[in-house]
Amino acid sequence: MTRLGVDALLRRDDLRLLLCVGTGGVGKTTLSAALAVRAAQLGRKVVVVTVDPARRLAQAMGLDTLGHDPAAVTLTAPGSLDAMMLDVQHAFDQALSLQVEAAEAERIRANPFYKALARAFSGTQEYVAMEKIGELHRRAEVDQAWDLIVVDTPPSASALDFLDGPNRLEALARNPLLRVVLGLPRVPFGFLDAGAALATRALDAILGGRLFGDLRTFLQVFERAVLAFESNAAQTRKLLASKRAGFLVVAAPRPAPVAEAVRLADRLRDDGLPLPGVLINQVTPVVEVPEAVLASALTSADPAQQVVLEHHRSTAARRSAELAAAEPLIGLGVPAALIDLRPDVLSDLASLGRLFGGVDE
Amino acid sequence: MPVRCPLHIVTGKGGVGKTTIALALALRLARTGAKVVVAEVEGRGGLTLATGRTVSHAPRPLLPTRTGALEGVQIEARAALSGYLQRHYRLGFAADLLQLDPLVDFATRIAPGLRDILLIGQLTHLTETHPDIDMLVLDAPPSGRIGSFLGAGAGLAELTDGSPIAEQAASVMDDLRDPTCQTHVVTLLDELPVTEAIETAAVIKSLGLRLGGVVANRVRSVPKVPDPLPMAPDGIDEALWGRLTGALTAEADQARGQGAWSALLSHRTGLNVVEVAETDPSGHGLSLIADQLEAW
Repeated sequence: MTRLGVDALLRRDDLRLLLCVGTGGVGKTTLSAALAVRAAQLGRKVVVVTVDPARRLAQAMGLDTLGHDPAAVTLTAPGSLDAMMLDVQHAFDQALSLQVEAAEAERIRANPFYKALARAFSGTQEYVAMEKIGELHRRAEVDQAWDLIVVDTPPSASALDFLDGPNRLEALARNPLLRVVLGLPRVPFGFLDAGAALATRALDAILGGRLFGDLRTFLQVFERAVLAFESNAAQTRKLLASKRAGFLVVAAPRPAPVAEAVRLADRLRDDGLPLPGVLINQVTPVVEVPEAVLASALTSADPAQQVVLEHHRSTAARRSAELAAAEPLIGLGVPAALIDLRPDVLSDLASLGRLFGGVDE
Repeated sequence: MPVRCPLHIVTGKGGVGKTTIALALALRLARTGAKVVVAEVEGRGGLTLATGRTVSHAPRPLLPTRTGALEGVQIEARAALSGYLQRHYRLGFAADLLQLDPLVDFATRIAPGLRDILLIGQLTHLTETHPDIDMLVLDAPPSGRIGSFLGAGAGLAELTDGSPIAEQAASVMDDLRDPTCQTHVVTLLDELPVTEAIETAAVIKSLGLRLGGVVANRVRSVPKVPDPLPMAPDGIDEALWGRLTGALTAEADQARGQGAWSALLSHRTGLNVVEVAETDPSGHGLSLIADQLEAW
């Protein structure tokens, strides 16, 4: 296993953007916060973007709640730390206000599809995350407030959604058939008309007339918003593929998260996105005892001593089984860091910082 | 109206082992001689990963059982939409023949709850096309999304007032509120998952659905700690020995801490917590887990 030097990575001057990706339940949010705290301890000016943090994490950072604008976290460190939460509804409201007049904006806010967009449409959170990343980066270039952006990616059915979501929204806005169905201005493809009639019938059958009407209204605005985001999105994508960005794939040492992490790592590499390392979180910690020492101690141990030694054995066996489960991920040859499971890791900033303080010698 | 058969919905916070518990529950139910079908709805391949067998739109064997049968099926939005269009409008070919992927994706995801209604509808419809199925187990979305998933019918029925899908939405809610349908919550005995499990149980009840059971997965046994702690044996220095005994007592404290979370969970949900012991992380031992669910 090539060991990932987390401190060395966080010290890299050229690294401006770090994204934690992985399935739910592996500790992405905690690790993003911990990486941000550690980076600030190493002198970076950091802003961390989290998605739906547990209340306790916000509290650990000394904030009652996280807002949608970066707020300073009080931290005694050479660097600085700001934290913010991704707020999809707010981001769309903002975009909407820029696109249309107040009266129309009000009407659209009442549109059921608009209301559902933030919650229901897979891809929305990812889209907004991309947009926010781009915005923070542009701001950082101008006022130098930050030199590192750490991003905790949205929880989704598949970790790949983070990469696919934004494209899905855009493909949708540009889908010629959809445009015909919804009566949007379109490219002239006559052969689509027959299909469109059928698709219109299908949509009408599912949704009914009123809802279908709401959908058209919504999409006309939605299209404008998506196209307006677009030029920025291209820049953000370029940033993500550059050496200034790095993705960290997070997994827990169990078969399902590891399989998902491997898929994700493969995909990042296929897309030419930088993958400086993988983080294997929640590994059972074990005290290191040379096997020879253990074997000789066991021969002379009384029953009470044996209980202690046997417990050590079973803990070591559990850790080995976990590492075996993580092998498909470690085997990719990407530098990996093992992060031990610790009780009460989130109690305060110092404990968050320690999560990575011990990883790098 | 679909023929109703017992439906067990299994949810929980991401990473707590929903798929494992869903499979173990199905295995336990199959032991009574029933033909049980486990369904997954998000195409994550969890069933395939756990069993090594592929799952598709039609139920196919997942695990060998001595009695009964255990099959797996994947409920997918696209197939659910064409199924719905076919059943109600003879329009299944519309979704199948046309290059409708983005449109299907859109229609089934953006309309609030539409996708979920279609998925649940397709699941309950299985018993019509496969009357030999005795029980269904759903490896459901994680608890963060379960409220909107199971409550989609109520929301959609309200929104669409009289549109064609409203009828489907209402019928899905009827199926979910039927006494034969139970929702189970899987958790770990730790602060965050227990907090989320308690919230999830409340959400399920508020939707008018029946809360079946609460399963605490990967429960660690409390190790025996010698009292007093022994001195270091020959060959191990005091410092190292201190760390070894410290690890043992810390583990014991932590394992005992699970008891408090279990008690809180039981108190707040009003249900007995079914505890499932931690097994080897390589994932074998479904049968062992099914044994522990017998008492449920």
